[in-house]
Amino acid sequence: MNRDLLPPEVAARREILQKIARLLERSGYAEIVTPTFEEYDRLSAGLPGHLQTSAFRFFDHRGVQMILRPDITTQIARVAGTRLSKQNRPLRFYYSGDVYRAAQLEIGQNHQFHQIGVELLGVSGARGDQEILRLAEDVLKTVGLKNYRVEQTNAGRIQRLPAKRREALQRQDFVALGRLPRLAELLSVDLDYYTGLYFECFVPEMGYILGSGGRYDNLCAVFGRKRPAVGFAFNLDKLLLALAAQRG
Amino acid sequence: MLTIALSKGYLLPEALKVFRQVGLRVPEANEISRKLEFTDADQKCRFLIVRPADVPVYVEYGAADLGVAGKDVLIEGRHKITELLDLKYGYCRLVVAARRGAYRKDTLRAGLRVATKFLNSAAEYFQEKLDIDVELIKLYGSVELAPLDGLSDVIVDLVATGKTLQENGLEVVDEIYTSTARLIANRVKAKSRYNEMMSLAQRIKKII
Repeated sequence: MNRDLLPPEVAARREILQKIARLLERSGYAEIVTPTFEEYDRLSAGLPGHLQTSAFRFFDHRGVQMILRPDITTQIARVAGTRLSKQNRPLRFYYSGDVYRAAQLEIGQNHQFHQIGVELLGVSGARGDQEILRLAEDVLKTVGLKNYRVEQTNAGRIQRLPAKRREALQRQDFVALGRLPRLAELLSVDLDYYTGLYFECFVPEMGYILGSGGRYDNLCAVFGRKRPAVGFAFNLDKLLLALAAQRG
Repeated sequence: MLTIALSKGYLLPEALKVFRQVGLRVPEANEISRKLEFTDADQKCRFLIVRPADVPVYVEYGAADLGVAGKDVLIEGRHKITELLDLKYGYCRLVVAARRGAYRKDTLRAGLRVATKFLNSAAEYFQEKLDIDVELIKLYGSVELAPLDGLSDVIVDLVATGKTLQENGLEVVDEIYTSTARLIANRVKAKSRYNEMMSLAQRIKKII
């Protein structure tokens, strides 16, 4: 369900968003704003399967199919592949906005929720990965969380596993695998999307992932220009819940 | 403290035995009587006693960190949980059964009426494995009665020893899957409380 946000909560949200935005600006990331809805055909090629099937879609007054953005990363990849296709330097963007999903919501998640995140386009391999991992930790520190964990795995390595083992891992079936899991194996990687590094951020007090991210080197090519890409997104509601849980 | 959901009913004594064997001082099943929630004597774990099909729901939503549930319940419910260990007790099979001599696997045909508690598993079996359209009837108990009174042609139900089938003049036509009890975990808690959970799981693994 969706809900109204009333004054004390709105102020708390704004405070966190401002803290994160200041950090991201200082780290060399510039804010980008993309439309809340756009033509479905313009975006669909870059949307991973689970977002295509979970997005709200509707027809505009001309009968053209539109999509209410289910995430912002895909839109940024579209911008990078079209209007910014001549830019050769690395691109560093951050965004802060609501996204909308009709289905496949996590437990307790609203149909409309606020994401704040970054994309680093044009920096491949470990150098880009490290920059993004460090920045994700800085976000957790900046908002004032304690005992946070950033756990990582590698989508490329999972992709190369024998099919049977890969499928068991995706189902989180360690009985089929015949052993108890290592921590990194418990991360739920979308293998259609991530190509290398994948990471999740959480705190012990909460049964939710606060944010996640990783490398998705195949996305930008869909929109006309190949570019290595890595980024993350945090869910504002979950950051607030985690802070509330730690304050007791 | 970890919260662990257990199934009420005939599998509860076995589940409690597992936790007793790893050193938790938990009561006997008959001492729990009507209590739906209790902790072990040393306050290390909290246990919830719920309906078998509800165990993975408690775990998926994080109301319990761990749970003990039959593989049959996990396959039928399709909950997003992590499956950690096969506890090797509670063996049973999900089978297609019919009146003695009425059907063989190769005479199951489109249009059959199938009575079952396991709608998802039955639908998957007839659609994907046999590729025939059947009419499914959801029942909540005494499924063995359905073919006798003409409610259905066949049933899909759990069989442990096969005695109930036999007593009702039914026989197994095909086996869909076998099931045992599993230790399951909430997907996020398995990460955020990894050490605590895995040390308990390691101890359980040693005794099964």
